[in-house]
Amino acid sequence: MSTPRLPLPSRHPVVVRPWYQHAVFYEVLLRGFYDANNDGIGDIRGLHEKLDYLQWLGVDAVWLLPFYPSPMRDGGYDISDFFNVAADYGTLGDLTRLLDDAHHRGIRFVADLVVNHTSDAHPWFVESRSSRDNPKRDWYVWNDDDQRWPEARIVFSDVERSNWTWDDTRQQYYWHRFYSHQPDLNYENPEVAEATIEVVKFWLEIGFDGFRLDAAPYLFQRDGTAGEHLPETHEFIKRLRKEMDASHPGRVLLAEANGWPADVADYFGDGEECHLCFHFPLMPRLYMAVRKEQRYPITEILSQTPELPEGCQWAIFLRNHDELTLEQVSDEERDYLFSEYAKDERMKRHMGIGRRLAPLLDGDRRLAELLYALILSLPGSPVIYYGDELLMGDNIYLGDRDSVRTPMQWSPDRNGGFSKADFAQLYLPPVMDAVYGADAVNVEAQSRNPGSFLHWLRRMLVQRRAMPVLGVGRMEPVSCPNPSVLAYVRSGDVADAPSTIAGPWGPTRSPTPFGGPAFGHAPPAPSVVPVSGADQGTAGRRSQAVLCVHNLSRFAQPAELSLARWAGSMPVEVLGRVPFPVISDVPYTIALGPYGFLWFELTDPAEETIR
Amino acid sequence: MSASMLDLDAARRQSLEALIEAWLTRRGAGGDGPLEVVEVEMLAPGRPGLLDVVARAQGRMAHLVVGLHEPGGEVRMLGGAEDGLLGAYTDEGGAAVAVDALFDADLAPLVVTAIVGEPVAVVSVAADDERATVLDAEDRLSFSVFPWLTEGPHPGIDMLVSLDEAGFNHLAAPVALWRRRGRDLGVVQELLTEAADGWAVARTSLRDLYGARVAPEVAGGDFADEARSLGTMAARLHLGAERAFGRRSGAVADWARGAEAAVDRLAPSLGRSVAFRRAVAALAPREDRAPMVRTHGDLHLGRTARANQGWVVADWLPGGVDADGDPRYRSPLWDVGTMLWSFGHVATAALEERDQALRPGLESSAEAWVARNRRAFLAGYLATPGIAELLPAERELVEPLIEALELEVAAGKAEGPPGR
Repeated sequence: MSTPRLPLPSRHPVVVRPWYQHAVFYEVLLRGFYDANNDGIGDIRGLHEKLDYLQWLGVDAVWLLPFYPSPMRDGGYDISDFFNVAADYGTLGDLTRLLDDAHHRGIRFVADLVVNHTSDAHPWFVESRSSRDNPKRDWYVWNDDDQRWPEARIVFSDVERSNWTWDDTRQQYYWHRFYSHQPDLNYENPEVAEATIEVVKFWLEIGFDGFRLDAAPYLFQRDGTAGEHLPETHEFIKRLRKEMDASHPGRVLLAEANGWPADVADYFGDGEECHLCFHFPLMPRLYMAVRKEQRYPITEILSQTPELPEGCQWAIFLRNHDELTLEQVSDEERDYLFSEYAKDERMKRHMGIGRRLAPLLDGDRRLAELLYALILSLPGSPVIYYGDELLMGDNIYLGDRDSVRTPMQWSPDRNGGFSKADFAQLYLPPVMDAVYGADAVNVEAQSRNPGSFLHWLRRMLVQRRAMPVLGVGRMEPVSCPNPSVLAYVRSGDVADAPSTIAGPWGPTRSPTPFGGPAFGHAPPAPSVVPVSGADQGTAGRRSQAVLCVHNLSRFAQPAELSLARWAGSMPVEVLGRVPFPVISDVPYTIALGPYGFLWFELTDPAEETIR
Repeated sequence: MSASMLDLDAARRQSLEALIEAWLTRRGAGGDGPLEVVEVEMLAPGRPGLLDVVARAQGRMAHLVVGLHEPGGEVRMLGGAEDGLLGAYTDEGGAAVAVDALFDADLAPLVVTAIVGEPVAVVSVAADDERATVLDAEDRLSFSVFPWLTEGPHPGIDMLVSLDEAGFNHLAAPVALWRRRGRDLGVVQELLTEAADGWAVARTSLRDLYGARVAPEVAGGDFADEARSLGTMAARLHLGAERAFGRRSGAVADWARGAEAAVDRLAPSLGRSVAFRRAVAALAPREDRAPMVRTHGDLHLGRTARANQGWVVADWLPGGVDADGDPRYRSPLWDVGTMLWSFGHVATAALEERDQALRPGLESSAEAWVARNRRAFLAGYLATPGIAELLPAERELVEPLIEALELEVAAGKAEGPPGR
């Protein structure tokens, strides 16, 4: 057959997609990123100094882990003041300057906001526990016994024995879904909801572009339920969204709701709750698939993932600041993943694995590239955990989840270039082993080496930006008899990839030329022109289709792809722009190296110029 | 699209016979035997047109779909099947170029549309062999057209449809059945896009095992979970077969003696197995009777597929019938035997493909893989609710019966053609 079956250019106006639907997020642990004042703790000024790097890398948005005042008994997720910045990190002024500069570079910032609980050192809780008749007596969840809501699981079951803890002062139990020093707020009390909205508006005024809602499913409790994903919780999130849209349109909510896709999709509502939700069940199945060398762990969960409402998007990731959670797998699958990825008991954390990406993969760069290729091409906005762009290592001998929260490795200098403080002052020791230590793995060295993983990933991010369909396109599975091959086509109408991205702050993004002194200076900031939350893109519109083929095996594999629907189109390999033979109605055969992947733009061979 | 049976005059009949001859040659079945057009149905009139033809040829019932093009027009064959051009044909519409319509890029969609009843635009040939020409339509439907017909229902389709109606869902659901005058001409099923052949999935596990040279339980590509799921599927198949076709009973001793006779006749060397002789010796004196159902008959890895929703039976032949096409009731453990045999077969096949120099030490890995997955399969099978009702009431008979039947299967396979 010779008839091209490429979709014709749309005659309809292309839908301009909101930025977060094709953004690449970068997760930053502030205290671990860069220490500008050399006190051993990363800070806001340090992050500000590294904006050049983030801009060069090509991330669109930063997800900033908690920076609020906190006793730091849970990495800052135990907030003691919602309206300030922890002194170790800097000041509100530092933060404002950081956000302004980031916005001028076209980088957005999403704040991690813990809405479910506070620290037990928070003044609200101090007051609430002080008596049974104080004004904040019902701001937390109190009970005379610890028998209520037995159906609610204990999230940190390896540490906590109950979701209730006795308080000697008030002579009652208080409810907490996480650590006992993190009492849950009582959202049945309208004053609490009001206070949370006030917190949100405060940080929106400061300049954040949205929030990651920590522990979103647990806001309410109800008798006879597990206390997760309750309708009341959704009602509150809808209200929060409505208030946010009214006062600060274009800002986003990202839900941390660890659940089955059908349950988590409820956090999108009909498009009136969260803009983004993490796709937790996909993540462990990526690791399972490459060990089993089969696509089924991935395709099964994707087949159970519901369609998104308009304007919504999944956030997908390989690793983050927590353990590699195995809550959303079966007992057998968990045993399997533990046996494959946590051979040492010390690698296990709570119900998961406390390791970074590179050690999980035994340092196999090909495998890391494959996994990144997957999260860059599967439906969703990818989230990169700081340091994983270098394939940094971890330290399983550190407690809790600190194993994956060690200092960013900027150079082979003292403390990995993270801080000039004395080693003993550092909030955590840097990784120092021969394989993953800063001598071997650091930004400076990799940025000088065009063949490094860092450069590879940067090129991939550039490539992804050139193919917006990877962010918003439909996903069509491609049949292949080889179970080790995962192939799909992402297709749809898109705006031509802009060379600059205009955000609420004007057309500012231009990749920083790299060479010579690392990361140079930022381009001059243009004037601030608030428009909307959508990327306008300059360009025309067109249909785009990208064929993504991945070999999940450590051995070379053939892929016979059923591409009759695309007969007549010519695959052009996207990294090298190499044209491949035109697709016909017979299976299209390609070979893939170990853990290899190929992305092809499906083009019309009649076009004189290949895009 | 209307369809009607045609009465052919002598000239057209002769012309059509020439096309059938060309089609037989194309399929490697040409010869000098008698040829008789049995029936012709017009699936689409005019040009392009479609004629569905059944003919008696060389003692078999041939089935082809003839496509008719206006002479001089472009003919585009799927997959470059240029021999799909069958010749010239003339009817009331005038002269036409006749083609094998299933391989014609423009006509194959019309065939699918005619049978499914809804428009289909893109079709590709997924498979073509003696059993069926399989067309994939728009990545959503799979249309199997049988080139050779049986008198009466096609046993595989009969089993597929009956089990689907009985609630067995480890299958690609039938969407439309193409049946005329009691003969099954084809079937349309949902297309399981992500499905891969069970043999290939097992090979993936073995490739990993042989590459890692570790125990199968610690290999990344461990197959045990899959084997267990296969066991569950097999048990559900038998429960569905009982619902669909009913249950009979048979003498365990007869089965054992039958297995012994088959092994001695077909593969005496296999009969030297001490375990087999012990199993037969344990079963032969028994007077127990046990349930029989209409089993699949040849349920092995190559007849299964792994899809997103789990394992499915992908190939329903022989369809639970004997050589004469009569329903065959057996202990459901027959299918267990065929599946267990295939575990050993795939492990050996994967081993033999490796370089001779790399094989030492892998034989034990293969044995361990087979043993582990055999246990897992049986665990899944025997733990399926309800299956105990279809097994010998005396549980100690189950293991020797599996042993006996598995070897009977192996003897039959050793006798038969090599392959999967």
